[in-house]
Amino acid sequence: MDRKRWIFTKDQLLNTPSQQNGIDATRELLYRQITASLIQEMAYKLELSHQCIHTAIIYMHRFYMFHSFTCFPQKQMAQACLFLAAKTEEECRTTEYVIRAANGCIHQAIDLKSEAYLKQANTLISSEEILLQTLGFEVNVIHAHDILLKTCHLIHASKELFKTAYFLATNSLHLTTFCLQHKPSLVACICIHLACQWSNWDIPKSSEGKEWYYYVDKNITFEMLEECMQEFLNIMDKCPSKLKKLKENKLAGTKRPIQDEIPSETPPMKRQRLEPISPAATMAGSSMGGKVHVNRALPIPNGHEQKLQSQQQSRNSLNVEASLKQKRSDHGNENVDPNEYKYQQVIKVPNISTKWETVPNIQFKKSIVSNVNNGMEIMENKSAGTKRPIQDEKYQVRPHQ
Amino acid sequence: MSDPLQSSSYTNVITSKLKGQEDLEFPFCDDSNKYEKLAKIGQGTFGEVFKARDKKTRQIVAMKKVLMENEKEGFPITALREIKILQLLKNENVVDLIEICRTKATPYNRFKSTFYLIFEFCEHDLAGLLSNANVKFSLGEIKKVMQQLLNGLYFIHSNKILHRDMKAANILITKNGVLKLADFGLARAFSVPSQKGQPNRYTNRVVTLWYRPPELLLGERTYTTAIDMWGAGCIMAEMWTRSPIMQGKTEQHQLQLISQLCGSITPEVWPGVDQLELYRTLELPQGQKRKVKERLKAYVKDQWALDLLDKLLSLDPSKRIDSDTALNNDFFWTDPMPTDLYPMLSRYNTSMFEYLAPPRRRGPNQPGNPNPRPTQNPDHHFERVF
Repeated sequence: MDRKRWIFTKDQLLNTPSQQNGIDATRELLYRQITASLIQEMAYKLELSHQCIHTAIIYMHRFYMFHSFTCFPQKQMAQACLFLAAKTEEECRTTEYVIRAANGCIHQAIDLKSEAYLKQANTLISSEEILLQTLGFEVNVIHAHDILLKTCHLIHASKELFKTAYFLATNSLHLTTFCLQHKPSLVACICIHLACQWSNWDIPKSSEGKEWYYYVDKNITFEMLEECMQEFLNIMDKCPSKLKKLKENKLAGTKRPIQDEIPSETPPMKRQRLEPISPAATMAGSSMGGKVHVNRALPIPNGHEQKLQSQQQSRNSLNVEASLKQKRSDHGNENVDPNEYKYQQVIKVPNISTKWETVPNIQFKKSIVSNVNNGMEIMENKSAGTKRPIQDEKYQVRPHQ
Repeated sequence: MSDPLQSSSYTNVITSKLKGQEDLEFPFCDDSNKYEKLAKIGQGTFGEVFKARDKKTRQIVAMKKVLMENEKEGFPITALREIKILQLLKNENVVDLIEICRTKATPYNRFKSTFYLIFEFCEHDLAGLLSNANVKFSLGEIKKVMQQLLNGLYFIHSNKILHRDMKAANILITKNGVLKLADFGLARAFSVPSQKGQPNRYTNRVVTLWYRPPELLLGERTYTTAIDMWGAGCIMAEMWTRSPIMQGKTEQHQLQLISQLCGSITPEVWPGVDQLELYRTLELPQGQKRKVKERLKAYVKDQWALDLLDKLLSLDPSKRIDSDTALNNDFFWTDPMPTDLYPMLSRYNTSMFEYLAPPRRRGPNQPGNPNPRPTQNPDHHFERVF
């Protein structure tokens, strides 16, 4: 299958069917965000996994590159995307259950012979068919989240960095059309890059003198990361006010008040059971108090350790540890009521971004990574067999990029 | 409280919009009329199969119709699984899914499209070749078949996919002698770990009875890639015996046949077998000796072949050889070395092998309905085929 098929140019994004039907780009993005929220809200009722939500949102973004919001209402497609994603992610939910969730009566028996039910069921099934045909039956998606997990392994990221980046990846799906513009590997790198900026982490170059993102995708440059990060921040900046406006105008296309639904963005740290990264990474995370974790099995460029030590000292003298903690609890996640929190999370980001714009030049390093090369193993499939005269590359089907 | 469904005026809006779907365009899903059907060539696990030709390119393909068996639940999950898996698995020894086509949704079909999976066309299937007495495989050719089969299995297993329906009829061979694993209608990924750390439980109602391994017959639901390896063993023996080696009529009977060949199923040879659901319920023959090599000796003269068969037909799935180790078995690395099938296959006219008479002859799909494959051998009705 042609992977490029689902990557669009800016021009294409400014000429979507919705925009041809008179919906402007900003409004379209808002509709996409609403649909993503509807998907998430319904998925929680149906007890579907995050993976399933992410898949459904990607289906949704792709679908509206070929069809207009004027013909396919958000709620209808939110149902269809989730219905299909539940099947492809092996978490199948019945038509009846999906419709109950969509009507907010998950625990209520409904009359399966009623005209209203049959109509909705029929619409759901037709929409699923239209969705499948639009996708060209390409139901496998590569998630930035998966690449992010691998990359965090690779750079021996602390748990905290991983969580932050993971949260940003989820937000990129909900709020932006990054998944239509960039390869998932780039999205993963943008999220890690932003997470690093956000909390002042620094990932050093590998022993080969290359940046960490080189090992994820050779084509990624620092400029690309910066540019996309800025775009991401701009979108997040606009978002909360947009949502507020929506609240006032009640522009949702449904009769139900939308207030409670829109900001249902919940940080993944709360709901998601996160995979432990690796013993080494966990160690790195726990050594945040000032010690630097160094993987001894790997060669370290001369002078590297010294540099780290001096940075540590400067860090202590500047008493940045305290400010860091402060910062972390600003956008931190523990001890916050999830209901109250869900809105804050989205708003917080731009605020923090201004923080590190106004407080420049204090470059300190936290839990530092040792050698990036080590992680290469993770990115490549293990080969097997000795005698067989067959190239093992052949066996690598799951593309990583 | 009013019925939430009745209160939603939303429904009317969306159904009225759907009527316009006739003129929808799908750039990635072509109309099936780009192909012309030539003949019906079989019946897959979820629909009919046709031989067809691309009107433009003249390429010959196989079209597998997606059977909408449970319309209420939308597009069947079994078909979605097959599509999902085949899109991931691109390998010389796995059948190539070219695309998925559709018929247009019109008022005439109540806006219900029909979908077809379009596959590369393969001239033969192994069951067809083996049931034709004129087709003779040399030892080198048998090695080539098995090597390609195990190579396909190695590929799908290393991508965490279980085939779950290994049988001679699902092994396709092109006229150039390239073997392809086909019919992934029952296949599924086995990687997905469940959230609470419980092992995955799959249905054990898979695999055609004659090729079904003992652990499935005993109700195992946390099975592994070893289930496909048992099937590979049955198929390998079939390369010499020319008909399925254990043609049980019921699950109980199948277990009997297995015990007669592989010895009694006991916790001594298979630690933990007594924990399986049906171990106590089903009657298992006691005191049977393992006679895999002895009984197959009459057909299989090659020592390495017997050795590999013995390892593939191991009762305990944890001791059964995996595809990687099997490929390294000396069977494939001693003289005669695996030889290309093309020269042998090219001796026969295509007409001889093309699935002429619909439906194609196949093994039983349903347990309890064996419908044995007709063979040239008049003794095929014997309980013991060899």
